[in-house]
Amino acid sequence: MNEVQTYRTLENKSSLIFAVNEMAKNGYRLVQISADKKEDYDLLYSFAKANELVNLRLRVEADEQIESISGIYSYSYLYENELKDLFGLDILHINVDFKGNLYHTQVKTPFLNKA
Amino acid sequence: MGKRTIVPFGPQHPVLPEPIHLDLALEDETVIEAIPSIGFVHRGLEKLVEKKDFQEYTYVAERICGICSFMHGMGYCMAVENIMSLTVPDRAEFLRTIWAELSRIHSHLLWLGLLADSIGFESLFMHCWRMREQILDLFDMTTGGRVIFSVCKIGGVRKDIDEEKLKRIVDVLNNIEDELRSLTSVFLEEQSIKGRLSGVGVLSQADAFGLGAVGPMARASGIVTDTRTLGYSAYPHVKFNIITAQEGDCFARTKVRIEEIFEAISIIRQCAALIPSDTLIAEPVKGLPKGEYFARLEQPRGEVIYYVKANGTKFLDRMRVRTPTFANLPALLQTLKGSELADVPVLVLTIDPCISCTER
Repeated sequence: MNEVQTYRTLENKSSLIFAVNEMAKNGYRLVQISADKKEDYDLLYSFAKANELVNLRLRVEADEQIESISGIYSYSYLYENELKDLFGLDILHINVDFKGNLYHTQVKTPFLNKA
Repeated sequence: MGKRTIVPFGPQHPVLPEPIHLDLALEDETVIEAIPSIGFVHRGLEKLVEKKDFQEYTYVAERICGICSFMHGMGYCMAVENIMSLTVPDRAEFLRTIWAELSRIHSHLLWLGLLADSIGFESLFMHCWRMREQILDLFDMTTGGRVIFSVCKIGGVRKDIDEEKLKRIVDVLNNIEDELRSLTSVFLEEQSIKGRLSGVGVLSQADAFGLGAVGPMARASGIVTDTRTLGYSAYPHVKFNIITAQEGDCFARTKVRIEEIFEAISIIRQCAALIPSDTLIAEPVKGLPKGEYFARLEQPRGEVIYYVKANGTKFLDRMRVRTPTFANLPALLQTLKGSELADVPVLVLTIDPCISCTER
C-alpha cells in the first residue's frame, strides 16, 4: 500500500471551518464524515488527494452545536444530515437541511447510544 | 415561464429494483430541481459491530450488498488487518483480486443489461445477463455461492482456487471477451442507443470533482481516479489502465463501464499467470484489534470506504461504510437539473445506484 493516512485533532469547533477551508484550497476532496458517540461526539472529517488521506478529528460535547461545512464543500449536506438523523448531532446552517427526515428510521437517532 | 409541477419519482419505479425517492420539480417537461429521499430500508448494519464478534462481522459486511458482496467483506477485512498489523499471504491477495475483478465484471454486465432494459432493448438485456450468468457460475465453482461467498476472512481467504479452476476461469473469460466485443459494437454504435444516451445528463469535470463523484461516474467526466492505484491486494503486481472519457454524459458512463470489463478480464488473466504457488492462504488471527483505520478500495461503482475503530475487545467501537452510491448522489442531482422528464429513469440508472449499499 502506498497510501498515507494522517490524523489531526482540531483544538475546538471554531477551528473547523478554517481547517476545512484549507483542505479545499489545497485541492482535497471530502470523502466522508463520520461520528462515534460515547459521552462526547468524536467526529472525523476525511479528505483525499492522490494517495493521501487526511482525517481531521473534532471532539464535540453532547449538547454542543457545530457549524456545517456545506458552505465550503456543498455536497457535505448528505453526510451532515446523516449525522443529524443517526446520531442526533446538532449541525447549523446545512445548505440542504432535511430536518431529521433523510432516513426513515423506526427509532429516532438510533446510533446515539451504544448497545 | 412554463407550468410548474412536482412529480414524485419512486420509491417504486420499473427502472429501480430498490427504493429511492426523488421529488422532481418540473417546468413543463424540464427538471429544474430534484430533491432526494432515502432511508426507506435503512438496516443499521454498522451498529451491529457493538454486538457481533469482529471476526463474525465479516459475514455481516458481505451482506451489505448482493452485487459487490465480496468487496464489502474484503474492505472490512482490510481495515481490521491493518489495525492488527496482519500480513495477508500473497496467494490470498491474488485470490482476493481475482474475486474482486470477477465481481466488477458481473456488476457491470448486470448494469449494462439494466440499461438496455430501461431503453427497451430487451434482447440486449438478455444477452448481457446471459453472459453475467457465466460469471455467477464461476463464483459457484470457486466459492460454493453465487451471491454471498463467505470466502474472505480476516487474515486471508477461506478457499483456494486450484490450477484446473484457474484455467477454467480464464477459458470462460476468453469466451466472454469475444462475446462482449460484438455486444460493444451494439452499445456504442447502434443509433437508437446513441440517441438515448449521447448528450444526456452531462456532468462536467469541474462538477464531478466539486460534487465528490467517484468511480465510473467521475472517470466518464475526465477525472483520472481509481483507488486500485493505492496498491492494495495484488494490484501492484498487475498492469491496468484507468479508463476515462471526456464527454461526461450517459453514453460516456456506458463506454467507461464496458471498457472496464475488458480491463478486469486482463487483470484476472495476469493474476492467474502470476499467482504464487504457496499453500498458505490465511494468517492466523492472534489477539484483539485496537486502533483505527480507513480502508479504501475500488468497487464496481467506485471508491468505498471502510472505517474501523477498535478498542481491544472482541466488539468494535465503530464501523462506518461510505458507499460509492452515497458519494454519487449529489452528482446525480446536478445532472438531473435541466434534463427532460423522459430521460430521468436512464439518467438515474447511469450512476449505477445501489440502494442496498447506501441503506447499509
